Formats: sequence, C-alpha cells, structure tokens
Amino acid sequence: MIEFRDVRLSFREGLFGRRPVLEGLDLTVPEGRVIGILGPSGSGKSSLARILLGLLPADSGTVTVDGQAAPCRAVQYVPQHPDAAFNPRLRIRAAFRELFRLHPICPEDRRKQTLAAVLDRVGIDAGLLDRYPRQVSGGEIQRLSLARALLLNPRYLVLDEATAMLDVSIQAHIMRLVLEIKAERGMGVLVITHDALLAGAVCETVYTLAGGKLFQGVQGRAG
Amino acid sequence: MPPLDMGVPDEPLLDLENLKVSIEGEGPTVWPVRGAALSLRRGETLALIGESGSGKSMLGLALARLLPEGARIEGEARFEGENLLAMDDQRMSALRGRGIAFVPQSAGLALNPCRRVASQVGEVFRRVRGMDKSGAREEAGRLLARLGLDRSVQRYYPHQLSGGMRQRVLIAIGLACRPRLLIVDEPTKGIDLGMIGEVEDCFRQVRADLPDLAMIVITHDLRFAARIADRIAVMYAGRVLEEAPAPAFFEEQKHPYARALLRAAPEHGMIPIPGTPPSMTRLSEGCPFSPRCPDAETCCASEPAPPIRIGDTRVACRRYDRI
Repeated sequence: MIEFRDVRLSFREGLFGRRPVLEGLDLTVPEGRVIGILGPSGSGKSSLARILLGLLPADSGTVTVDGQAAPCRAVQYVPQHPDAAFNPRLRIRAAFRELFRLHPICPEDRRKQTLAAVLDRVGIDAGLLDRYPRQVSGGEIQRLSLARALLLNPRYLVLDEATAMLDVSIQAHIMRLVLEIKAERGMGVLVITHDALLAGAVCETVYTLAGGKLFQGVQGRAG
Repeated sequence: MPPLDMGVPDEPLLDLENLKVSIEGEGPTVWPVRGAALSLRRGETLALIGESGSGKSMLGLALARLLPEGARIEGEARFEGENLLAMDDQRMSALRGRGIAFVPQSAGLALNPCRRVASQVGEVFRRVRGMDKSGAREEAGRLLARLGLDRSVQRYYPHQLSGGMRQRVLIAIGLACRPRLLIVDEPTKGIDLGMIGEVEDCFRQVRADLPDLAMIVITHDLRFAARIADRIAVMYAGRVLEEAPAPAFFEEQKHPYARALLRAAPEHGMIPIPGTPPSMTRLSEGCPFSPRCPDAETCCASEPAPPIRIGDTRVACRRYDRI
C-alpha cells in the first residue's frame, strides 16, 4: 500500500513568509482499491501527487510504497494536460522507444509485441504512433498516457484530473477502461479530481482535502 | 452606414436553416457543420452542447463570420431578419461586436498577455464607442464590477488572474459594445469547479442586467448548461439533433444521441457511447448517429431525418415516437 505519514508541505510566500499547503497529512492507498481525493484548486491535491512521484520534496513526513520509500516505479501517473504528457517534439513512437530504452520492460526482441498488446488493451490504433502529440485528440492522448503507465507494470496508478479536459462520453470511456484494468491487475488507483460526482462514481473511498488536511472519506457509489 | 434593422419583436432574433460550413485544405474537404437548424429569440440563452468535433465552435464562428481561411458557409442564417451570409465585409464588420459578439474559448490565450486588463477592456470603449482614455477606463471598471471583478483587477495582467476571472474579463470585452447576441465559446473549459460557480454567477448577472440580450453558450459541460440556459440544442456531426427547453430536455431527451450523451455523465451511470463519431470528410444523407444508435433501423442510415416539432421541442429522429 501507499502510505503518507504526517506529510507537511509549505510554499514560500512573499519575502519571508511561508504558506502551509499540507499540514500533517496521513493517507493510505491499499492495492486493489480506488481512492479519490477531492478538493478545490490550490488545495494541494496535485502537490500530494507530486510528492508521491518524487517531483516535489515534502518539508517533512514519510511516503512509502509497499514499505519502500517513494518515489518508485510501482507508482505511475496520468497527468491532466495532454500537453504535459508527451514531448511535443517527438513522434509518439519515439516517446515509447525512449521508455523501452530507459526501463527494462522486456527483452529487446519482444518490445514490438509488448507495445502492440498494451495499445490494443487501451484501444489505440498503432497507426497513431507515427503522429506528433498535437495531431491526436485529448482522449487519445490520455489513452496513450495510460498505455505508457501500464508498460511499467505499476501496482498503483495516479490519475491527476486525467479526464478534466475531456467530454463526458470520452471521460466515461477512459474511466471505465481504468476500472477494468484495475480489476484485471489488482492495482491501487488514486483519483485526484475537483469533480465530486466523478469521484463518487468511480472511487470506493473519497477523501476531501481542505486547509491542508484530509477529511474522513465518504463511501463512493463504487464502494 | 445604414441603421441596423431591428426586426419585428415576434420574429426570432436569429434563424438558421440548413447551415453548412466546409473547409478546403490539402486533404479532402472537411464539413464541420452540415445542415444545422436553430432559432433564437431576444433575451433567450441557448446552450449548444455536444462532444468535441461536433461542430459547435465552427457554428459559433460562422455566425460571427470569423471562420478560418478556406472555409465556406452555405445555407441560411438570418439575424434580425437580415441574411448574414449575404452581408459584405463592411456591413459585417459594423455588425460584429455591436450586433453579434463572439467570446472565444481558452481565456488564457485569447487575452493579450502583455497588456493590463484595463487597457484590453478599455480598448473596445475607445475604438468602438469613441471614448477618451479616462472615460474608457471608468466605463471598463464599471462593467468589470458588474461582473463581480474588483476594481484592482484592472491593473493586473492576464497571468495574474484565475481562469474564472479571465473568462469574466473576456465576457466584459464581449459585452462592451452592447451586442444583441453574445456567443460564448466554452466558458468553463479547463476551469475548476469552484471557479465555474463564479462564471455561472457572472452569466446570471448579465442576464439580470441585460434582459434583451440573447446568448449562445457553446459548452460540453452538461451541468453548466443545465444551470444557465433556457434552451438546449444538441449538436452531433455538424447537425442539431435536438432542440428543447432546458428543464424538459434534462427531464427527458427525445433523440437517442442526447440520451446516450447524458448517460455518459458520472451522475447518470457513466455509460460510454459505443463506437466512434463519424468522419468529418464524408457526408451521408441519413442520420449521422445511426451507426452508433441502439434503436436505428435500416432506413436511418440512408434517409434524411428532418426535424419534427413536438410542442417546444424539435428532434431530428425518424423513430423518436417508437422508442
């Protein structure tokens, strides 16, 4: 499980001041569960994800993934903005090639099949690989982001407002897909969103982040 | 310049029949709008809803005649009884802003990042209404205050504002020439829920202040549409498949596509619409939703489905009464 223990974070404000963002936050994301974090913008939801991914150092506290200090490869991420997901200068195929080069995902002669299998799972035509990120739709980019995350065989998936820019119908496709894959692989999923209805529909437990603290979770419809 | 024809009060402010927009490019011709029909009365707010690529924004741009190069408009579009498509550039430019104002999407990109808010809102008052600098600034401040923005906002640059505030600044620019029709493209896109409340309040204020202003709000946000609109028009593949009063629409949708769209929302079960939207380059005679429609008959794909009027609702489905 992912465990946040007494995590504190503050940002510099003005010349000498600091604004607290997270004030002694505790959170547990068990494997195989979908946990939602709700909160308005500026409440620190994305900071929480960035700490887990090692993109932002916390002031104090510990974050562990199955007992091991975060960040680690077992946690993968699907960001909100399509622009943030892929390098705009590389064709999508090159972005995937980079992933295979950096991580020991599979033997070299099996790369093609591995990629084809995961693209098939997320419902993406392999023809899209020859395009640049700006040439594919928002829904396709989110599927490709999901494919990239899945290639690393994560035990946990973090969706940071992953469907906030999408239409309801595409949002429904993507969230259904995530839930199916979660069921197949038994992954833990952390859904960060400002949309209470979405959180209620897909999460088993929903916490609200306000004033730097998490408030007791409510049971989602999926719970 | 001839005076603008105000039309008779009973006549719709805007009337569209079989409106088509085509764009010629390197590849095959793209048809983002293919036979849209709509009508709008003075003081009415219409939400144009539908998925990305359904032609909503292109329809809005077509009404303001702001389409990209290579685009062609066909069909009929009457604004205050006057044919919009037959107007020469000079006439259109006189109407733009004063008659029909268009507020583009992506408030972050639409504002000039290097100029303060006061100068951008004030520019409209100076250029169009011939005010001097201090008068324009005063007027801009008043307008921004009506939309719930503090006077201090005038001194800010766009990057210093939240998404909701930027959207309200854009709406202020749209309203500055006192148009009769305001078209707002995706006012809530990329804005988080708390800020959407601010944008909603702003729309309510505008409606209270300007009861005669008609608005077309292009949005893919169904909840936002439900809260601000009098009427809803659902677009799919460049056509309006259903047009209905908002309360009736959210109570019961008549077109299978409208029903499928609502069911995809998290609050209604999050059931995805099977299949993919049709290509924008191929035109078919029949209902564009028929390949994905659970209730389609063989004839749906080949024969046109002209809009049928049922009370205040118009629905373009051959089978609406049998489903």
